[in-house]
Amino acid sequence: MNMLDDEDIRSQTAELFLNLELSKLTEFQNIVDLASQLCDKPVALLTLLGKEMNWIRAAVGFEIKAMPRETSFCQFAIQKDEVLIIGDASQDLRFHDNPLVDSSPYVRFYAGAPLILSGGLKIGTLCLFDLKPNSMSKLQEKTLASLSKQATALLELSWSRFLLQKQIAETVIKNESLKKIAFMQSHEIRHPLSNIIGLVNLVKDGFASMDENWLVMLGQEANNLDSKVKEIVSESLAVKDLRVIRYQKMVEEIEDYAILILDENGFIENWNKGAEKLKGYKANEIIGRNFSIFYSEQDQLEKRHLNLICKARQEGTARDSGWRLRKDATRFWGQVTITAIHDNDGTVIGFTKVTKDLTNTITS
Amino acid sequence: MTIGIIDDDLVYKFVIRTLIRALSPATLILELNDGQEAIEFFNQNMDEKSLLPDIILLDINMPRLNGWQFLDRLRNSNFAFNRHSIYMVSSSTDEIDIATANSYQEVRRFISKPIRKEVLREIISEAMVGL
Repeated sequence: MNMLDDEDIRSQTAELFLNLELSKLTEFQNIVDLASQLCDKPVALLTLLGKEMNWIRAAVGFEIKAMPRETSFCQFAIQKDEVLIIGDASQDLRFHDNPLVDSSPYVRFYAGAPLILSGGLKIGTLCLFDLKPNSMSKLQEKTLASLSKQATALLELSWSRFLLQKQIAETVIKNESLKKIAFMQSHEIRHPLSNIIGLVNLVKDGFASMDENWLVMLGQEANNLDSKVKEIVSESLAVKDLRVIRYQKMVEEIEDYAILILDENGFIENWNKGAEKLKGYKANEIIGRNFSIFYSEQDQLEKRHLNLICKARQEGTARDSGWRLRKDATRFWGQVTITAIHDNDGTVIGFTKVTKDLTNTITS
Repeated sequence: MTIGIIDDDLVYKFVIRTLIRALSPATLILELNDGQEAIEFFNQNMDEKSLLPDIILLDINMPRLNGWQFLDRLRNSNFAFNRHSIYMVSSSTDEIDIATANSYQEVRRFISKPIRKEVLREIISEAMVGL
């Protein structure tokens, strides 16, 4: 298993968006239509650039749904933040030997605006093609850039909706099993209760008297009922949640150690007081960002942070000591332990990162 | 006339027994502890209609052989027993249990515990009339 590099993260994120059925949403078709009309080019595409393939999710003037990445123009467009314009591909060295240019459809003009997610990842493009060499006015270039931002915002919104629907589906299933549990529990409660009612009615109707035998039975069923209720309450979710909440609070309050939870790609999900004290960031400033931010530029180039989570993924834990960066760019010497977290199937779903500040213990 | 009570709950049986004696003193009561004991009794007295009950109050949740399992065995047998005279009784309010009970031809009705005296009176008159 190879280590996760930035391109892996980018392409995996892009491929996540393939889960969205964009063809059902007319907004994306509207965007490519508008791009084509306003920029006056025959072909406009909304693409997602994956690891091996360039996926075309909305199009005007083009029917094919996916093309290989290596012959795509979009692979260059995602390298920068600005719109990439290629006036005549037949004159551009990058497309020497490209079958899209040398043979049908004989592409000449390309303009691509990268789709940039709020985290900075470029997952694809909103792009234009023409079969003759062409150009774009500054206004058209701005329009394309602006439309690409619209498309990205829509993609992120659709993704949130998709996640929400998944959560709702999970909640519905949970509710169904809760209903089942409620039925089972109500049955268990009604068992002794119906006996108590039966005994009382016998006396009420004059069919039995409250003799010792009757009192013993009544007492027995009442105790059964009491135990059942106690059992159900102790099993109930409320108590379980309380324990989980107490545990989370405990971790949060610890000040001597920075304790974080990262997702499988190193993005920060949780932040405790110790982390705020040590690294200087407040929770709302840091959650959602990648933990590479604590590593020096040199360390990031050498992929020190990625090697650590890769080791944790393979071996369960990874330990390291070294300089780390605070929010104010000062350094501290940290002893770090990263541990992989698994779900019930054994798949790695994230990492815990515990850091102790040892700056005072080393001699400078 | 004999009413068969197939249930493992002692207090429930005391209540039902007391009620039946009060409402219909001439009626005979046959008490069986669970589905297994009931099948064994039926096996031993296969052809003796006089010993087998005329109607049965059958509980669902019993050890060894539960209500559903008893019904399945009954179906595949030659007991001299009127097939359409079983009342399924339970403190369960689960729709699935009620629907399952109603899907058995042998089950005349599903009755919730506690059995009220009015319901028991109805059952006894239905039995007297010969169903």
